[in-house]
Amino acid sequence: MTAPFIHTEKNAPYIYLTHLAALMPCVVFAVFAYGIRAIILLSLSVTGFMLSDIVAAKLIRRHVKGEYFDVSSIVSGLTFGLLLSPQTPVTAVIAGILFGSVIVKQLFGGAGSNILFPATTAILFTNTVFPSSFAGFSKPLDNWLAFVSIVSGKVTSPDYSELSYPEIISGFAGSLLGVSCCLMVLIGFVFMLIKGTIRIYAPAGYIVTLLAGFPLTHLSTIFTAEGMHLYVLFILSSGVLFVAVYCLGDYTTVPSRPLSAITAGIVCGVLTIILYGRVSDVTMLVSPVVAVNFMSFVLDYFSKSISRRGKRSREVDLL
Amino acid sequence: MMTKNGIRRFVFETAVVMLIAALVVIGGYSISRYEENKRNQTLYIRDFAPVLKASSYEPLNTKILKDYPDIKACYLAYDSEHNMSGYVIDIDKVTDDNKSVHLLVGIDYEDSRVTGIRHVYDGDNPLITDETAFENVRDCLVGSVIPVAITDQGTVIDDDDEENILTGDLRDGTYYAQSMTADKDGYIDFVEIEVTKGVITRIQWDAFNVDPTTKLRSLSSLSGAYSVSGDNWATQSYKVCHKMLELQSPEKLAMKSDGTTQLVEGVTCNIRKFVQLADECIGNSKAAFNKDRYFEALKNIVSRVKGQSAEEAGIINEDGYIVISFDDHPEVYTLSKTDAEGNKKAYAVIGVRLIDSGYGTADQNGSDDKDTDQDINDDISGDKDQKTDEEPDPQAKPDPGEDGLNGDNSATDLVGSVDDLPLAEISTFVDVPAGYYKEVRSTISSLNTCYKFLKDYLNWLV
Amino acid sequence: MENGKIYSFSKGVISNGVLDFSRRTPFVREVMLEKINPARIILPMKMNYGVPCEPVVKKGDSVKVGQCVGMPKAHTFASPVHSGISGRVTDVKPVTLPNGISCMAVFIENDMKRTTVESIRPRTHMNMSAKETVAIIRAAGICGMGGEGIPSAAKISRAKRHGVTELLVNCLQSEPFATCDLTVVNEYTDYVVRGACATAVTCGAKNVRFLISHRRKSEIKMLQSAVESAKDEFDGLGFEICRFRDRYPQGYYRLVAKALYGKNLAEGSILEEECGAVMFNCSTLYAVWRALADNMPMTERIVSVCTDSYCRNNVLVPIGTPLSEIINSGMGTIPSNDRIIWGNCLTGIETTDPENTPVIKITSAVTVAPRTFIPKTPCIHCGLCSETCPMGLSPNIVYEMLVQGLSQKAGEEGGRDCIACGTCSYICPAGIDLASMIAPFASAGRIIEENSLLHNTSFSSGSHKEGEEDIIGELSLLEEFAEDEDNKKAADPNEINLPFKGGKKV
Repeated sequence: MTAPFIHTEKNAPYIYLTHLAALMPCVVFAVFAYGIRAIILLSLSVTGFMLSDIVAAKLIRRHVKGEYFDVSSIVSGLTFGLLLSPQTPVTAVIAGILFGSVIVKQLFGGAGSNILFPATTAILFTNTVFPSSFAGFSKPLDNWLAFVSIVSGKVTSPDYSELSYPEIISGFAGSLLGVSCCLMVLIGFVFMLIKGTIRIYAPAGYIVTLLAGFPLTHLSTIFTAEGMHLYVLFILSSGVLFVAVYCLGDYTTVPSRPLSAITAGIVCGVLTIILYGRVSDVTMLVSPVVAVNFMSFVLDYFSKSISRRGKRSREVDLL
Repeated sequence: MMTKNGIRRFVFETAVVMLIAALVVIGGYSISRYEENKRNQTLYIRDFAPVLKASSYEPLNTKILKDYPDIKACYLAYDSEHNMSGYVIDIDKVTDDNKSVHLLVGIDYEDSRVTGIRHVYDGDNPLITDETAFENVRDCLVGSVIPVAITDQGTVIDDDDEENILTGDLRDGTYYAQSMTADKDGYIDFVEIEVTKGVITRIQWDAFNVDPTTKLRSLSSLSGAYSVSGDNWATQSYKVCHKMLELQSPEKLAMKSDGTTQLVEGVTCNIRKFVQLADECIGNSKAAFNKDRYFEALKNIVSRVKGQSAEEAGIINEDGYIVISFDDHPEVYTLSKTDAEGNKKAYAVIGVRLIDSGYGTADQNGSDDKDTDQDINDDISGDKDQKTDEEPDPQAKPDPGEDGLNGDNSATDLVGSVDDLPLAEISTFVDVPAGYYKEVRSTISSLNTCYKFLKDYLNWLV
Repeated sequence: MENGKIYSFSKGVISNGVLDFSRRTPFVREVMLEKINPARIILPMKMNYGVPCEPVVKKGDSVKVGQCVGMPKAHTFASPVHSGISGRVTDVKPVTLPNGISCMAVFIENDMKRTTVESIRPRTHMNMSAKETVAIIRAAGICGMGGEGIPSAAKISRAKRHGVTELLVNCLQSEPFATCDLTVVNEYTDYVVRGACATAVTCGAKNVRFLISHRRKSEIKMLQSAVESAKDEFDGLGFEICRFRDRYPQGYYRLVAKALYGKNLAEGSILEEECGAVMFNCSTLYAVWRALADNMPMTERIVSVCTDSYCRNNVLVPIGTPLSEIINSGMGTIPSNDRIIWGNCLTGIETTDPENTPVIKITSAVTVAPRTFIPKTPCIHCGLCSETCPMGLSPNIVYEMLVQGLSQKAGEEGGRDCIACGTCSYICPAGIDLASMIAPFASAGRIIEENSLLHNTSFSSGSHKEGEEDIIGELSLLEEFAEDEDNKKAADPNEINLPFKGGKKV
């Protein structure tokens, strides 16, 4: 073995484990708010992602040096699960897993080689194929033990306009499974920050863009009480924080260089603002992330070119 | 990190994070509950205050609501000291012609009075379409105690003809019969029935006491002063009456020779007195010998045997019953005549009943004899067959334990009259403002559904 | 003499303090320094850049402390080798060092008497010319002790030729656990400062800048007081203490240039040329002053014994001491499972034969590292390596190109800029050993460069007395300077008189 003889403790399993741990508050919230439905949906998506990972590894006989359990699939599965609507029918979940894990992740070469974040892509797919399951959200804390709705995909839609600020902050607004409680997301974020396993550039760019962009696009209403209410609701409870922390905080699919990461965050934020109110909430959340995933290689390439400008010889191509 | 210690530490940290998260969630939950409650109270007060003033409202969760699909929700109203002040019921009833009546009804906790009604104009096809109509309905119903029925003319107008034909020879009205002798405890049983459209719609079986300080047997049994085996007497009495309402005939109660019946579950007391008196009442009904006439006749007899009017003799008790046991009045036996066969026969008659003289063989067929009635000269069309098998008290007495009479069933009820509520249960009869019969009728129907629900929910005995 | 600025090379992201080891591993200060008198030493004839010397002793000879045992062959570029102990030569045979250098080595058994060569005694007259100074430094066998291993005399000559104005004293030591340079500063502050002054004067530099971590407050204080006392003896010299962020690998000259002068040194360019500065390691300067003041050749150095789990210390050992002796003295028995590393744990080389692996002039640390399990996964494209690479490379891309055999492309990506600091391998979450692939690629391209660099210094290797191959005796090669009292005025205008006021003992 050659140098170095010490190695950072932040290896890949550790990074994914901290991401997993950081997702736990949202899981707690989802289970508390939606009961048995949440448990079923989350465990289904986690096992789905894990199974497809294992099966794919078996099929293509991809051997990885050093035995370890790939936690990344659990993280993807959990993120996917938390982005589901509580009423998502089981069939839709399975379709999402097949698309997100098998197609997006495994066919691109498995953990780390995927250019798209499997969870958001799977959600986007599910939303496209089963739009009805995301048409509305059931009120939290109703029917803790009921899970019929995840079979039938029946939806209702709670009224957000009446919610007070404390309610918005505590997240019991009725939304996707685990994204509506900003406090939970913040706990996860702080945990990752303490553990040093999150890059804040893309999330910061994203959130700042949203913070500034939303008022700009709602100039006529932003200064009214309703406009402000909508603003706060959008920032805290619509899931943008979740996307910022858990989707844009991902190491693999988001540009790594500060410049490109911030650009990615800004692009993502602008897309979100544009889509706001024009498409379903879920599409608004995840499709910009997928778009940015596509961009990340390009962004990284350009930012690198900028940083090494003047040093690249152009003759290479002749060789 | 990948060492055992590292993993253990990591798991611990994760657990701490989850714990913090759980605490925050629970905290957030209570905050949001509080906020939601505050918000809801604002909404409730806005919506409910017009029908029932209270400082807070709470939705009622009970399985019973499932049995009442019309009732969308029920809220408990509390005053500022968190004492119950009433109920607000959200009821959306669909009438037969597919029109909806969506009402918020406020009901007082103490006396089941309707404190207010609000019409919610939200159905596709509302029955009540304008505010004036509703105001009329409201004015005639607010303040009434549920359940509610429309006064007779309303009903009579409606379907008088049809239904009376069906039910045969019972005449509408209130009929009454009381035992001529007191039992060993000094109780004198009486039965009162009410016939509407030829159907018995209400029955009350109770007993007053020769001792004016003793309350009705039903009340005594409830207070514990009078006891029988099994359920208290009031309950048993209620059940018997209720069964009778279903069967419409005392014969069908299948009384055995010992005076008990197994037909009515939970009734172990001796019902012989009831059967006799009910029979008599039915006879009176057929003879159109109503309660007032019964009292009049009885008073006449009383004045005959006592030599003074009932009022003067002071035997009319607080409740208006004429307290007389002919056991104590041998004079009655003199009111007789010898019949054709030379048998002495009582001829004091109240309604369809010959007052048993004791020494004359009770001849049931003595219809002819009635002609001889002195005072009571009514057209007794009735068959006299009924009363003769009435046993004297001796039989009632022998079963000491059981025939305790309890009578909280002061309102014996009848089936099938208004919204499946026996008329006896109806607390308020209202007059319908002209032109709004349908609206009032539907509203009453809603109110009565509320009543039934509350009855179920609160387990009211009636 | 000190400004508030804290220098560092700029790195957009210093993720997680990866480059900041010292914060993570405070050095145990109580165990400061320990002298080790080993039972035997192994002196390879090639310890630095250049060609091997010729052994001038043979088996059975007895040697004294300070005695020259290896002489540069005539007209070769080499540094002489001196014995750090007294004893008997047991063998002269080839050895192979962990870094792959194979050369003859002199094995000496210690007689524990520590008898020294006579000429080694404090110099009484310090007035000497620059030429003499360089000659002393060369004869003392001094070379860069920070790891570069360029003979100091050569470096001084090169600096002079480029007309440097500043002398940088590199007290930046940011490798994990290693603190030997700082110990030198701590223990021999005056020697370091005076050595720096003497070298500065020799090079013609007007300014002396001490580069030290801003966390090392006590060392900074000591430097300040030492500078105060030395100031008077060296007129015309300016002093400055530059505080640096504690960041690995801050001490590398290209990163110092970036931090201090804001210049990106292209590969192959040198500090002297671009920045007008020459940089010496503080240990080197200490050795310089020992040679100048005490007439002591380079025979010993301070070595850090590093491990991340148990006791760490610094030891003063004669050059040539086998690693096993150092480790045993420091920590008793070594856990058999641990790796023994010749150098620090980020850039060192593992050795399986600590008995026969000596400390050489450029060995600053001996590391004992537990074998840890590093989970290997495919690259997750996290970009941490690009984030942390001090040279601003994208190690994952270079690695991928090298794996696919596209060395030309790898060069285009800047692969040859790699300074082999090992940070990328350290940080890689997937456990990919990037540095082991990239560093050899980079150094393979550099060998020619380095050699040409040294040859261009007009350092004539034969400047020593020719024909001294025959001189085998108890000589340290510094005899000729021992009592060189004749204050010869140099006819050469390039020659400078060192206005030493006397060989003060420090």
